[in-house]
Amino acid sequence: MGTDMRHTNFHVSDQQLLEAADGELSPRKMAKVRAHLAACWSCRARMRQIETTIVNFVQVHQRTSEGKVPPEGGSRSLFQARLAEAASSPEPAWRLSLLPLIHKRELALVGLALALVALTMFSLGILPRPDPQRSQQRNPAAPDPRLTPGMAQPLSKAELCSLGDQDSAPAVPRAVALKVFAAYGVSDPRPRAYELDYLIAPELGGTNDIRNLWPQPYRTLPWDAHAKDALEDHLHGLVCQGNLDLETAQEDIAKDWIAAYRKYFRTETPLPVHAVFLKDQPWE
Amino acid sequence: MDLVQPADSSARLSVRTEARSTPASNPSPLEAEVKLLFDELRVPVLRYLMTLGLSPPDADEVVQDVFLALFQHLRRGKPRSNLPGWVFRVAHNLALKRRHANRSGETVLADAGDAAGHLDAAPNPEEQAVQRQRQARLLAVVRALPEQDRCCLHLRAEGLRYREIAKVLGVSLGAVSLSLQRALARLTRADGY
Repeated sequence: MGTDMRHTNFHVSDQQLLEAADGELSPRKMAKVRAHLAACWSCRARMRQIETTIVNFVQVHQRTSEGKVPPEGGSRSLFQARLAEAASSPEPAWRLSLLPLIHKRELALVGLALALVALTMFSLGILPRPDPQRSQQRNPAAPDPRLTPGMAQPLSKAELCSLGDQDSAPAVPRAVALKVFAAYGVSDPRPRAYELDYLIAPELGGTNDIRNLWPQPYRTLPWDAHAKDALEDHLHGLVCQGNLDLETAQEDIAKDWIAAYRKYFRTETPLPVHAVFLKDQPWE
Repeated sequence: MDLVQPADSSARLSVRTEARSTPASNPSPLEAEVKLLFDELRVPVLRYLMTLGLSPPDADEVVQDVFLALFQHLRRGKPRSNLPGWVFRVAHNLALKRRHANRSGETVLADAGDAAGHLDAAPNPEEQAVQRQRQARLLAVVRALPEQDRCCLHLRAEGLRYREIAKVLGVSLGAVSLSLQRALARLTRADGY
C-alpha cells in the first residue's frame, strides 16, 4: 500500500479492498469490486499484498503469546469450581413482602419534596453554582443533588416494560454532555473515564434533561458506574416483575443510589460480579 | 437461576438441593454452555488481554471474571445474541479497569525476541534470520500504532467482525474500517512492499 497504490478515480481504494477481503462490503459493492479486480492487475496485486500482510501479522500475533498463556488445566479447574459455586447460589428471589415496608412511602415523599426544593432553589439562583474545589469535596461516586436531582417522565409501568431489554441508554448530544461536565467542574473530560449517567435510568422513566445527567467516573471503586448500571438493571426487573412500584424505584435511585444498591441487593459493598457489569457505554 | 419454575414448591426445593449438593457432577445446561464457551474462547481472549498490557496471571483472572459474569448474564435471561462479542466487550472493559488500577497505562507487547523463539522450522538458518527480522519489524510497527488501531488489529485477528469490534471499543463501524486500513498500510510498508 505504498504511494503508487493509493486510491485513484479508476481503482478500488485500499479500504474497499480490505473490506472486500474481510467480507464487509454489501453484495452490490462486492460485485463491483470483484468485477474491477477481474479487469485490473494492479488492484489484484494490491489485494494480494494486503492478504500477505494479514497472514504475516496473524503469525506474529499468535507467536508472541505462545508459551505465555497460562496452562489450561489449573485455570479450567478453578473456573469450574467458581462456576459451580455461582450456580449453587440461587438468585435472590426478591419479593415485595421482603422489602422494608415501614414508612416507605413517607420516606419517598420526603425525598421527592427535598429534591424539588433543591431544584427550585437552584433554578432561582438561591443555591450557588459549585466550583471545582467544592466539587472535589463531595463524594465523587454520587451526583450533586443540587445539579442532578433526577428527572422522570410520567410513563406507566406497562409502557416502560414494553420497551423491551435495552442494552444501553440513548446517547446524549455532545453539547449537552459538555454542559454537564462543565457544571461538575470537569473542563477536559478524559474519554472512557466517565459514563454520562442518567441518574434515573431511561428504563425507569428517566429523561435526558440535564438535571438527570451527571458524569459518573469509572475510577470511584467500589461504587462505580458498573455497580450503578447493575442497580438500574435490577430495579427495572423488579418493577416489571411487579415486585416494586415504579415511583419508589425512581425516588430511591434519585435520592441515594448507593443506599438503594445496598437496600435492593442486601449487601454493604458491591457484589464482585457487578465489577464487570456492562450496560451503558463510557463517554468519549 | 436459569431453571424452569416448577409447578409446586417441593419440586423447586428438590431442584435447588440437587444443584447445591452435586454441582460438579450434575451441571445445568447453562453451566455446560458457559464451560463450552470458556473452553472455546479462553485462549483468544487471553491473547487479546495480553496485547492490552495485562500480565498472563492478570489476564487469566480477568478471563475467569468475564465468564462468571457471562453465566450471571445468561442466568438473568439477558440477550444471547453474539456471545463471543459480549465476552470480548466485557473483557476489554475489565482489562482497562485492571490496567488503570495497576497504574500500568503502557501497553507491553511481547519482545521481538519472544516471537523469534517460536519460528517454524525453516529450511535453513538464512531463511530463519529473514523471518526473524520481518517479525521484529512488524512488532515494532504494531507497538507504535495508536491504541485504537492496535486493538482493532488484534480483535480482527481473533476473528471478530467489524460490527463486533465497533461494539467492543465503543466506536463507529467506519472508525474500525479506517483503523484497520491504516494499521495494515503501515504493516505493509514495514513488510517491504
